[in-house]
Amino acid sequence: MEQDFRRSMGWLHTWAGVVLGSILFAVFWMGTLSVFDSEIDSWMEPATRLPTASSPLPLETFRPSLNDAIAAKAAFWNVTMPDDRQAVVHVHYRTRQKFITREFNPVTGKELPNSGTLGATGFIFPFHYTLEIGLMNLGEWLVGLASMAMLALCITGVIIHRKLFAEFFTFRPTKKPRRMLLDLHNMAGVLGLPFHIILTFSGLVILSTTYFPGSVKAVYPSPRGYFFEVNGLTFLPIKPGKPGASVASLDKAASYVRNVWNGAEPHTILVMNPGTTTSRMAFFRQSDRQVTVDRDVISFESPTGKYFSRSPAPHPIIRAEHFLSGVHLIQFHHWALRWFYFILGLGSCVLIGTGFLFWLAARRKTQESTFGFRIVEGVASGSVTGIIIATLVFFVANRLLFPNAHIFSQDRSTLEIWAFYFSWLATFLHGWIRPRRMWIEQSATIGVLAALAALLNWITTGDHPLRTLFHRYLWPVAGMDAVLMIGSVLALVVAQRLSSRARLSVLLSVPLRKRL
Amino acid sequence: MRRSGLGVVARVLLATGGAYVVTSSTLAAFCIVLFASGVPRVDAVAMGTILGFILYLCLILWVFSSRKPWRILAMFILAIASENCMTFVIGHGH
Repeated sequence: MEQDFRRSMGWLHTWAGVVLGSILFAVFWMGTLSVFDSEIDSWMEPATRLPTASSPLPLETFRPSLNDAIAAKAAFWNVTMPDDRQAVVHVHYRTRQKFITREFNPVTGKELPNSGTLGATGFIFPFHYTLEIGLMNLGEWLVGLASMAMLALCITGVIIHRKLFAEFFTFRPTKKPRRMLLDLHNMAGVLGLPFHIILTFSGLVILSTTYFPGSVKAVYPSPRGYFFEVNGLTFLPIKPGKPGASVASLDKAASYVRNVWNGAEPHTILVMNPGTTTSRMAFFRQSDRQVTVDRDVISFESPTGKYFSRSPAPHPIIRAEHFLSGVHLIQFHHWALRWFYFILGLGSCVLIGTGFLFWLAARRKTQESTFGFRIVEGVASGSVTGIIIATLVFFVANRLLFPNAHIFSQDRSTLEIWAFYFSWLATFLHGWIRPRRMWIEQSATIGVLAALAALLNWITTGDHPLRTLFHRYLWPVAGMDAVLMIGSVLALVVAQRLSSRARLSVLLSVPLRKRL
Repeated sequence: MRRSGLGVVARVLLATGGAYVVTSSTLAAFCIVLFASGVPRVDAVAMGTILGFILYLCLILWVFSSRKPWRILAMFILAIASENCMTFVIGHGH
């Protein structure tokens, strides 16, 4: 394409980055937040900030919700027990109309009020891999395309980096902004290279059957067959049965399961087709002490409580695949590693953001007034600082609106999402209207919104940083507030530095904005 | 070599769409061959999909680095045709 190999790789690096950088930043930003999804949930749902229970509740406590699911002809009902990261018991079931989530106090077993928010597990995490575009799985395909681009960007980035080892730690913050941006881009890229590649690759592997359905179709009559087999769900598929059957004692089955597992607790209990004659219940073993996500599953016939099956030990190749998805999904519990993921994830965001900024800085002198440059600058501001602002507006809206708020006949969980999208759209418009200045203004907005979110949490729940620090069960809230406050300070410092630099260049009579 | 708009569009299509179809048909053929030679089908698919992304990535980089995209297009067509024939012949009736 170009004269030589390195130049054509450079061309690919530049343009794949500029064209797909927005999607990549959104995916990495939401993925980074998803590292702490349960913790963000407890920040957004103050009713769930509860001390952990010393012993699990009997499963029959949740029988009323199971009966509700049977009455609603639910396709499944499940209950997830509390763990290190989330204190409450979650019950989910899907009726004909919608997916229902109910939360229970882990000590008393009483149902908590409706949270009125999708939180991080209901909005931020799905956004990470679907972009919330449900139409024909378009979002997932866009994420897949961007992920392939990310892999290509990592490889081409290494190829075009002339002094990979010599400039390993080179960072010249005092040099010209363009040089500094490139240093920062290289540093974030090289230091985090294994992380960028492994996380992108494992993300693709998790959704591999979406992207390459042909391989499954070649050897399986139906795609579900592969899904059941690879995940050890041998108790599925189930033939449709007649309604009117009951579900046998959950606790009796649970004590059988504990015996088989030498006392280990089940983490999730699933009842498929509850209330029908062919219904089955399955117990999924806790697997938070290992990276590999291969849960031991024991299943029973629901109407009789008779043992049905246990998932076979997976083959080595399947274990390798489960290890890759485990590295990505971080279901193991290790606080230090979890923070490491978070910080490396922010490093990926810095990598993508500085990539955009370098593209702009390299062309500002020659192309500042061209239409293409303005498009990229507007899109870059909306997709880098803009999505951060939108996320913070999402948090602020959560703390400002009452849980039972109804505006324009929408409930709070919908209003929060609207707040997210409206403010995101606004940042794109702002980036278009205020060339160059928008970086200062949007950084300042981030600083103000982050501080506001932490402050609102204090005002609306009374959980101020000193209180949250001294209660172990409030540490997730303390962590979130701490990140918000550190982020706020950083953003304000950046805004202040940028604006003093802008003032300086005006003093030196360098035309900043020719068109104004 | 001069960059023309049409050339860039053609190359992007060849890298995303063309390489995708090649990878997809290679995977199907790979899974069928493994399955026919006695590997459990769940292993065949899991291994195929993991390796598939690496193949796809290599093909994308090849398309963008090559000076003769026409030769790549010809090879892609050849690969797609032969792999689909193979899948059709061996894979009849699972």
